Amino acid sequence: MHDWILTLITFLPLLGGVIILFIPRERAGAIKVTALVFSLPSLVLSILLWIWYDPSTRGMQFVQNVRWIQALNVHYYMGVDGISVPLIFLTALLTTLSLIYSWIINERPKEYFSLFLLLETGMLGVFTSLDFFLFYIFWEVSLVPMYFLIGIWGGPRKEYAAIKFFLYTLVGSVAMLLAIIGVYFYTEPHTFSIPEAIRQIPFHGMPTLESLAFLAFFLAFAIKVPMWPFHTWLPDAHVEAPTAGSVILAGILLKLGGYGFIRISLPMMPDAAQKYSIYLAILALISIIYGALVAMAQKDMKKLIAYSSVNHMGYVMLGIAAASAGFGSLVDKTMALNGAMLQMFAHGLITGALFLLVGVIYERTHNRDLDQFGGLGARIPVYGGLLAFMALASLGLPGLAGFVSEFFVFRGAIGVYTIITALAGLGIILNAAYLLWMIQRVLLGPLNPRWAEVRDIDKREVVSLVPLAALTILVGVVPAILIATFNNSLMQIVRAVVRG
Amino acid sequence: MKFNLFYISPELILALGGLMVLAVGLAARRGRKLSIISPEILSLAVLAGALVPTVMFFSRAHVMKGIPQFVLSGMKSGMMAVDGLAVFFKIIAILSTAIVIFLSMEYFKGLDFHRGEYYALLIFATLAITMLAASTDLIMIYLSLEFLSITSYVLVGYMKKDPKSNEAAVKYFLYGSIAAAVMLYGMSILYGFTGTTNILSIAESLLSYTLDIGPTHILFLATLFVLVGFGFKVSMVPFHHWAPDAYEGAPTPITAFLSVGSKAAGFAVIARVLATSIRPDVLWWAPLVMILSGVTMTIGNLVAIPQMNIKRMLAYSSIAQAGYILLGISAMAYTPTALTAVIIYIFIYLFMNLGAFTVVTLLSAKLKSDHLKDYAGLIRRAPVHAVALVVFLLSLAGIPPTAGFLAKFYLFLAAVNAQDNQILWLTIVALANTVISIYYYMNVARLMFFRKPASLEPIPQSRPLNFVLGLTLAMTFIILLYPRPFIRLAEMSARIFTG
Repeated sequence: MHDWILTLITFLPLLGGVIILFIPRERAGAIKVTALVFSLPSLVLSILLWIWYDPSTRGMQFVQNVRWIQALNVHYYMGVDGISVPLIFLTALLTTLSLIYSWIINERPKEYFSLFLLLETGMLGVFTSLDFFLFYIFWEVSLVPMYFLIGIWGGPRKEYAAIKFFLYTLVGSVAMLLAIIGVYFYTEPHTFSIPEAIRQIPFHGMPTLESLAFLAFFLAFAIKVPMWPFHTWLPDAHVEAPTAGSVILAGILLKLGGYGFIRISLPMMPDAAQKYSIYLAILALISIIYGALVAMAQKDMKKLIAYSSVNHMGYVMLGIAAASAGFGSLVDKTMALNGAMLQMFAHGLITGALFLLVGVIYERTHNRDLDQFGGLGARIPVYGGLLAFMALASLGLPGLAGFVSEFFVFRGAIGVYTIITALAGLGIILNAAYLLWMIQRVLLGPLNPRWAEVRDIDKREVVSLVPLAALTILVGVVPAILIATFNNSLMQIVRAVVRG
Repeated sequence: MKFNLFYISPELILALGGLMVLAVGLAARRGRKLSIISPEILSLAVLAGALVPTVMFFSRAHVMKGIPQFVLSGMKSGMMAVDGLAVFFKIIAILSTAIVIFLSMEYFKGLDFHRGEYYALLIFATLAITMLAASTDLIMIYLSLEFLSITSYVLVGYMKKDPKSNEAAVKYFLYGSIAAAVMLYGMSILYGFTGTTNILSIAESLLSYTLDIGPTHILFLATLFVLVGFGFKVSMVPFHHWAPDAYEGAPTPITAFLSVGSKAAGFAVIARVLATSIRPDVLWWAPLVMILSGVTMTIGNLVAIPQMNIKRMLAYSSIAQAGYILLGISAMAYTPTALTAVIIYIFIYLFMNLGAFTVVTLLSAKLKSDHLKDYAGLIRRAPVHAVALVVFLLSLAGIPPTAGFLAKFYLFLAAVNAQDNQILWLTIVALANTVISIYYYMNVARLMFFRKPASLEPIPQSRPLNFVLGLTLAMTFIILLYPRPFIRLAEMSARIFTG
């Protein structure tokens, strides 16, 4: 079981997706049940994985390593450490909750649910794979189903958004492919194994090459995160995607970028990481401020939350940038990196929930224009409560997950990049501004008579939201459960950056 | 070396088999019901018959060591070599023609046409490919190339009553004739310098030349002229203009044949000539081929974007694919593994391209249309085919988890391995082209999945097409998941007879 748990977690959804293809398209109920049946085991197993993971042991756990393409030294190499385990859980959780939310999809459910499961496999595979070839395959696999999800079930500009998303992300991916090939040739013996490449530091003593490789990986990850100025695909994709698609995009796909930086860029190209750290910090700062300002200007609720993602991922990048600096104390940098991981987890929960909430109201009113809402708090109180709760979590209210993550990032980063971090504090104020303003426009004030008959949130939607809300409180009050899992692994990475 | 008929048996079987198919076709036309011995089935049997000795060649130790067992009339001065490369392309030829026969069975169903001649011509074209891949003599190369071309011209223009088919054949014929003439001129220059038409003797002779002052400029020109002929066959830019019209006008199975079989033959001879005859140490052709490769892939991909006819789009797509393969060829100047990469690419390309054409053939035959707007909403009318087509297009672009990704990956690995990273710029161009190609490949997917179909009536299925679809789709995944036997095949095939 030990060896196979990662394979099961990763591929059971794919199996479900394939099985769904054989169910006749009229039997929507059977399709949806099958989808749930094949995504739940991954969730359960990911929880077990987290419980069984031992943070005190160094190195990868639950490793499975099988020779695949002997001629190229490519292996089917799976394994996790403290960084991957929470992200795997987050992926499985958000996907399962999205599937529950998507129960109302009645247009072409067969394609929808099988694409969704294929997407789940792709994302889980990125977090579990330890071989570059395998990593790249899973990275790309997640592009295709998302293209179709946006293009078939999306909003008015879905076709444009879908192809823009695909092409934009693909540019980053092919740059990464070149860098991966470079890593292969500069490791001795030639290997695609990620832990081995990290151990060997392939471009040691070759600063130009290391910079080029770092920048190639940077392009792929920065587009995914997304960092300003590579973020322009995000508003279109997030807004036009169907609700569950946006949840997955914001909740998980963005984390692939952050994960890439932490897992690959920092430990494998330490000198380049140190050299470019300041630029990462500056871009993070711009993402934070720019994201927040543009969010404030939005009239479309979904677009507002989309830009808030740019802002929140900015905090993640600030933490990563601080951790990759060549100076500063180990404590500060580890704290910043912990904050980045916490923020990734928290943002996944919070923004995932926010997109679900937007979906709820849009499904009832077919309106996302904030100026058209108003007074809904009294009309649909349960929804209003959840929306307010999640918005407060998003702006970093202490006691909830958003606060601890931002706190750690700031506390750590201020010791490394004092001025930049201080300026980034502006972002927190702006967050509060646009989120509270959003709440005011939607929930408070006079009720727009058009929404007089709006129904409150129903059971299915509540089921998909409550776990996220509960975890938000849990992480906010007891962040130790997360930190205990990944602190050791993150410390190793911070050490790895300075050893080069 | 012993004169042994066994080593020429595939060619003999194909030649005699082709004649038999012709005869059977005559009988069939007379209205006599010869259901089992129909031209189609007989052709498949002939191909199977030719495949058996071909596969046996690989088990001959001599072939694996790169020393051909049979070279017509003597060792180095022979006309043909049965080495790893030749055997591989025989397999490619047989496989692609077999699949094309299945496509033809469906495409021509119910149509009144001369079956015997058609299938006989296909068999003869296959024979031409096998000969071309094995030729080690300039005259033999010219002969085989023309043999392939002439059979192709007729096959392209087979739909006598269709003006587009006629136009395509005439354009192809005119273009091909000029290209062949230029190539022959280049070959005559080579003969003039060396006094021999055997490609290996030419290499020896030229090497001794270049030790002195050396006729490098004229040699370069001669090589260029020869490449015109070969490049025409693989639709390399700027000798590609025939391809879109020929592909669009030809009957769809023949388009498929041109895009795979004919192209593979061209690459076989390019690989052989550039690796053994006009070798890198005789003439440094790498920059030339690199530029041709870059131009080919870029123009192919860019001009594919506005196409509204799927066969034309696939024509430009296969022009671009030729560009990628040329990247591998140019890497051959730096590292021997490049030929393995080229071979793997061609093998995988066979399945993904023929798979795409299977779907196109279904629509060509059932809807009588190749216009992209008739692909709208295909997911509702022929779901399996729509999904399969998307898989093949993604594979052509090189997106995982398809075999096309492995093909491109292998190619890039070989290219980056080049000394001093001299091909790196071309690899970057190729990667950029991957992104460009996704735009027009996904355009087809967009139409098939996002749009509503003109009618919800399901498209009638076809047994032979479904069989081929299953085969090509399976291979597109299997080669990535379990590549070991195919990589071994490629490594064995990369052994060229170098005298």
